[in-house]
Amino acid sequence: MKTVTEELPVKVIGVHLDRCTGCKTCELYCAVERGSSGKTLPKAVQETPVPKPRLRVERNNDTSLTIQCRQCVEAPCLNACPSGALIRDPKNEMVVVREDRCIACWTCLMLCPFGVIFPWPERKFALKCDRCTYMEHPVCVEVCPTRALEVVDKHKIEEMYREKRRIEAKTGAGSSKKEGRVRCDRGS
Amino acid sequence: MEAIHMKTVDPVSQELLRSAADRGLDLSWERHQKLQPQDGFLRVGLSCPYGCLQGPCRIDPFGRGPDHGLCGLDRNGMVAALLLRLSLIGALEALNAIPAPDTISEVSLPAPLDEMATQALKNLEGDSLSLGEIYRTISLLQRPQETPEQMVLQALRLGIITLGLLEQRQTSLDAQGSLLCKAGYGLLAGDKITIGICGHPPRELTEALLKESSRESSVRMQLVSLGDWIRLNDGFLPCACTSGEAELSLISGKINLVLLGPGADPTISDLCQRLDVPLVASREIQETAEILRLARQAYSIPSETSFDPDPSLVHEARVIMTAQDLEPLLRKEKFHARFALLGGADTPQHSFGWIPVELTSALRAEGYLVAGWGDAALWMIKNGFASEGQDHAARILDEYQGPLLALKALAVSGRLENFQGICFTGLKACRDLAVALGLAGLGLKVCVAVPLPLWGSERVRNFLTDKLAAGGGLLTHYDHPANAEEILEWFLKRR
Repeated sequence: MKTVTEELPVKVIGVHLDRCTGCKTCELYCAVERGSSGKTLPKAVQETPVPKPRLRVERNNDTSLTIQCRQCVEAPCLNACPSGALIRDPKNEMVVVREDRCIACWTCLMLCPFGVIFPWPERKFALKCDRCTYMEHPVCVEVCPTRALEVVDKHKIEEMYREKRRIEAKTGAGSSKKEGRVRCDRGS
Repeated sequence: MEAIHMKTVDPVSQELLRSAADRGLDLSWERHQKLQPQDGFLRVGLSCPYGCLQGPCRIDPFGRGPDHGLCGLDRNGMVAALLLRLSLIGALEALNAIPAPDTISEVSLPAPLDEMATQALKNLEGDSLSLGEIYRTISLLQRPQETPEQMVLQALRLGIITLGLLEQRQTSLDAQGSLLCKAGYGLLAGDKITIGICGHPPRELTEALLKESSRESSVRMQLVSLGDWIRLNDGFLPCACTSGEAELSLISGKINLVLLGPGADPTISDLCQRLDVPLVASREIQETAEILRLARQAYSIPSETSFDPDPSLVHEARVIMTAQDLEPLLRKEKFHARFALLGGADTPQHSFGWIPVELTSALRAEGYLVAGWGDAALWMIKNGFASEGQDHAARILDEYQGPLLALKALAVSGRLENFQGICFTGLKACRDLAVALGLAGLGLKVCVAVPLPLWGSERVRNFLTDKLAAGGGLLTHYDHPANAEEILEWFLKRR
């Protein structure tokens, strides 16, 4: 099995948690761009079967975030696919579904550690984010109104987090954010 | 700038756009671009716009997320409630334009449209119209309990009420005769002190400024509107541009001072600050001498731009204010002449001016008599389509009365059958949508060139279409910004 090495420039979609408002614009337009034939929202809502997105916005307490395929280095879905529908694209190391080969057995769904492969029973194939490989930019990144989504080099994520933690420790921004429930009664 | 023709069809505006780009100024087109995509849920009518303070609730059009609002409203109810809310705001806008709204109790349409209204109301399951319906609608929208069908019916009834309120405004203003209006960038040509007016400052202030500015001085002084139809005692204030182009006229460097009245876009004051153009709000300064002094002071500072348009880029047309003035003009036309109405605001969904200019030319070539109102009418004037002395000149209608005025004249002259339809080229205010609904509810053929937020519910769309068809009406709208060819085809199909 081929593994992704440190040298390969694998890019994934990162989420700035402090910017995600949970508006679901990414979900909506992912379904329009990748799941519909009309390619516009008013056209897509009229289609049958109903278009489906390849990512999901989840909310936990005060935080919301977009979750989509993390393009695992050791991808369980890839190893488990009995029909060979899931492959790793050698050009960009994305795990992609060959829709014509998918037999809708949903094995990949069960094995995905992040729960980011979705069934589309009407079309009989599994849906997962392939970072819109054929487009210049992923549609979710393009449409995000707060620029919470960003295409980042997978190997640089940890570096970015280290830098963020360093700034937070220096400025105390992280702790104040946790306390950040604001009461607005100025002047009373 | 390679797609500049996608922004406006006016060559002068294109030149100003290039200048703005060179200076790094963001205008409405850039703001529109940055706003893309606009709230998708709202675009298809599946965002409940704060009827209560428990929301905002949104329904996933693709069925995986929420399928009901917190109060239990489903997607059909949400789309219908949004339509009703927009229609309600439109009716309130029309009510607000009446000088003494508290004196009105019943709303009616004038003869001969009253018979059409009676027939329409039978179709819309109700009798006479009253202002009380507006208040009932407000309570209905607190917690929409009616069926989607009832809400659509109420939206249509509010549309007809809006028409009645616009008529009421006209009656209370006692407008008579037709008034002259000039439009075009040519107004900014030459060396003069120019005060641009945005919004609607008090008429007395504008008249006083006009009087003061016409006094003898070493440099000529003029007042121009930046896209608003500003009524004076004996005409309209000349319009340098359409409302969509107001920012561009500021870029030109030819506006020495801006007088801001109610109804102006916030962007005008922002841009004035960035460009160092003095700005006077009509609610703050009412002293004409002070305003003129500021304008003269600003004029004495040399402009950064070298913009100087061709003085011939200005045309004049008569604005018809009453049906009585339009009727004799209609009688001059052949009895079987076909009539088309075009009106509405500039919208960044289309290249500015594209729909009114293309359609007016094409319809006139097909032998139609075209009349227009709003920004569409300004485009007709700017392009010389409405200038007097030419065959089948486009007719310019009062901005508020617009299609209603034309319909009254057509009905009185017995030519309503020759009427081919009304196209709203762009919607800026909810009043325009309410008027479109009201006209379709009266049994007329209406087309809206920009998408309406109805695509989230097939049931609502179908009910609206069927109900209007039962009364002989039609409301054509598209799931994309319609192009000129599509709308031309729509008109030609009506023949």
